Amino acid sequence: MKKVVYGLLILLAVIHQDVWWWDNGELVFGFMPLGLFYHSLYSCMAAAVWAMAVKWAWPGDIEQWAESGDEAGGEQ
Amino acid sequence: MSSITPLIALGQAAEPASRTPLVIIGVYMCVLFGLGWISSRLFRGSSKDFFVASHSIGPFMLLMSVFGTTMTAFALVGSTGKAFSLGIGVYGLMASSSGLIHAACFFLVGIRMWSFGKKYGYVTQIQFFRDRFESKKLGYLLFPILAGLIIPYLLVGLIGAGTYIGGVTRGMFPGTFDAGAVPGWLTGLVICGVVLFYVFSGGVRSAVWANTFQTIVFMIMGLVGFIVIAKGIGGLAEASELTRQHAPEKLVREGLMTPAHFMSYMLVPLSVGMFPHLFQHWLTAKSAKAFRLTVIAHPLCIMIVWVPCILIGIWGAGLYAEGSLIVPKLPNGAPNANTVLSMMVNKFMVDPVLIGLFSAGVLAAIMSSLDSQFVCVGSMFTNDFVVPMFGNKRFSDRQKVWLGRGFIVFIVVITYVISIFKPMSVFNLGIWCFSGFSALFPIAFAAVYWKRVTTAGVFASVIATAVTWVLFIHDALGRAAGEQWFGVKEHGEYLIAGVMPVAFICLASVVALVGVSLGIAAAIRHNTWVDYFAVGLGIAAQALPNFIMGPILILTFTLWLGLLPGGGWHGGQWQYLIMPVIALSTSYMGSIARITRSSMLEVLNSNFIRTAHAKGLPARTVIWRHALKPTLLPVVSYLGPVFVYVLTGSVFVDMYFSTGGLGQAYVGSALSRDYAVLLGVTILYGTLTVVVNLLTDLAYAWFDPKIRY
Repeated sequence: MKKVVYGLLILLAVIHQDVWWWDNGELVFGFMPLGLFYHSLYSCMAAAVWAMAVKWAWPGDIEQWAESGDEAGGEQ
Repeated sequence: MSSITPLIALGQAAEPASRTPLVIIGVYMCVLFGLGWISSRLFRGSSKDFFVASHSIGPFMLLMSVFGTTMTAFALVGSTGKAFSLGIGVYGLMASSSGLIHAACFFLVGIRMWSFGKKYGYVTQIQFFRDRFESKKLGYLLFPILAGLIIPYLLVGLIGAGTYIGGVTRGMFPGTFDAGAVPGWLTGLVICGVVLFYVFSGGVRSAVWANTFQTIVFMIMGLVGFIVIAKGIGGLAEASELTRQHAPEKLVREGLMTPAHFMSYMLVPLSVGMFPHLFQHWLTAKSAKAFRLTVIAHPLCIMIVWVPCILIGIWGAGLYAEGSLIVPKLPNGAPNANTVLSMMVNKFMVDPVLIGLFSAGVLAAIMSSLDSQFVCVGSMFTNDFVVPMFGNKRFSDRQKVWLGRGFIVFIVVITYVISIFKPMSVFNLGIWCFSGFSALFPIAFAAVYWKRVTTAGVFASVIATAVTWVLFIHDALGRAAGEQWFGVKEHGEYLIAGVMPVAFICLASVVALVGVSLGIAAAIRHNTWVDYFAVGLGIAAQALPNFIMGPILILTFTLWLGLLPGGGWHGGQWQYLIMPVIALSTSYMGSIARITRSSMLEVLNSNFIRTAHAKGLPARTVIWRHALKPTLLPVVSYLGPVFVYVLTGSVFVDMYFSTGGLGQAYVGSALSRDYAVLLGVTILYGTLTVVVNLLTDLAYAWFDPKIRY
């Protein structure tokens, strides 16, 4: 699942470059320019993917290491 | 503040405008005073509590304080103004990319930094870097650079606040101030005073409390203000339709930005990974789990604040094009984009109570960044300069807090004075500041994820960042329009080869960091992939003589990228020297690198080096103090002949790049049978060759004490 999350994050970085809407000035819901609407949705998608990252790719050992006396732990 | 001056041209209102908004702002300031007083009751008096709130902050307050800290005048005043000029693309430039990149910085770097801070008791990020790279000097190098980069960030807040309040108070004090508006210097003074008070009262705990409160205020008031402005124009659909009719270019990106320009902006949000004030906020977290809400909700919070601002900006552009919105002009005749938000508020908010509440929200956004930055510069001064310089026991805990406070006042005074005399675009100033921090981000990332990154690599990266940043900002802001060395200004943006300068600053930083670290690793760990890579690079450089490099450089940097002039001397201006120097030296650099490598390997296998290791000397001392000198002996032997090769090689380079040097004189005199010049140049070449060989021989004695003459 971790790999899927990282894959989705890379995909997000790619689809940020929405050249396909570059000259489209349509108004969504009558007031929202299409480019702005797409990037607002993008923000929501980013939040969703980060929620997945928190659930499936959270570095759980970090906190234990910070609280413990182990010097060589962590993922560094 | 002089950015308010253009308002005079608009004339003064016949009747003094209602001062109710100012009263509400005053009440809001009193609430902040109260908050500062309450948090001072909880202040434990220790430097740990002052600087990192004793690691006691939970998820919600962490989200609000981190988000509030990243949103400043840049997000409200700046984004509205930039959307007024560049249209809807501004959201993609900074907001949606920040949703991805900011959260990535929190997730990948922030949590780990928190764990190191918690475990080893760090208060500032420089403490972490100093320990991680075992170098006090790195701390001394980073301190002025980070503190210096915070000043433009503080300026963003002060200039933004001054411009905004100047706009909304226009006509309130006819006869007292110019255009009857509260001047920027007074706004700056009040804001600095209030923030200093609550920061001094309780340190970072106060800042976190105030940030949480202020973030809630500016998010709520921002939404209310947006709805009122939209209603004032006639509704959401009406407002956007107006823009479609009068400024349709603001609804698209075509013509205002290119995909390359847009993509290069993605590097700017990396700055949050290196903001010293954000690092300090990370450290306040009670646990790593406290980061979870911040990582998820940050993109949504950005959207809630930025979408209304962008819409207000493009609606303002439509109204301005229609002629129904007056925007004060800059001295160059262009509309002052910084004032767009205040002009829209003035025009469409008629209720003075609402104006006051909305203005309090704008100031809240600005002050929620200033407070963290104030605490941070104080912490850095105490922990990264005073303590390493004078020792930990020289000052008591309380004295350290006071030293930090003293430095905060010093920085605030400098920033305040600059804000009065040198106002500029809030958005552009913010971008320059963020670009510097972004270019330092590779260091933070490498410190956490790359075990073999070297101290020398980090030094090289910091210096490369500082040099390129100063060079580009001087080119963009310090030179007259049209006389830039590297870039061009398009739609108020300074672009190099069509992309933001941050791309090149980051590139210089990464190349220096990776190149130097790999170079050292190649010497120390031979027969690894790093070694093979470095040797391959050396052979490739050797295989590129100057008559091949010259055309490659001109094709790339002159014809394709348009970055450097293709030839000429022009009094030895440095941009004309870059390509000839690279063409002339690349091949020899490859040879020198290979000779150095093999010589270093031989020396490292010597008995005296084994003895040095056995004595327990650190690897750095063994290499730099014991191995380097004997390693350089064959290199110095090679330098004599190289000098001769360079002189003869310059014949081609001089001709190809039209630099008009000795080589060109040599060839020119031979072709035109000018025997006097030909003879003179030949004698000069011969003399220089003899002298350099003599110096090389003399240098042997210094490198190897066994050699005596």
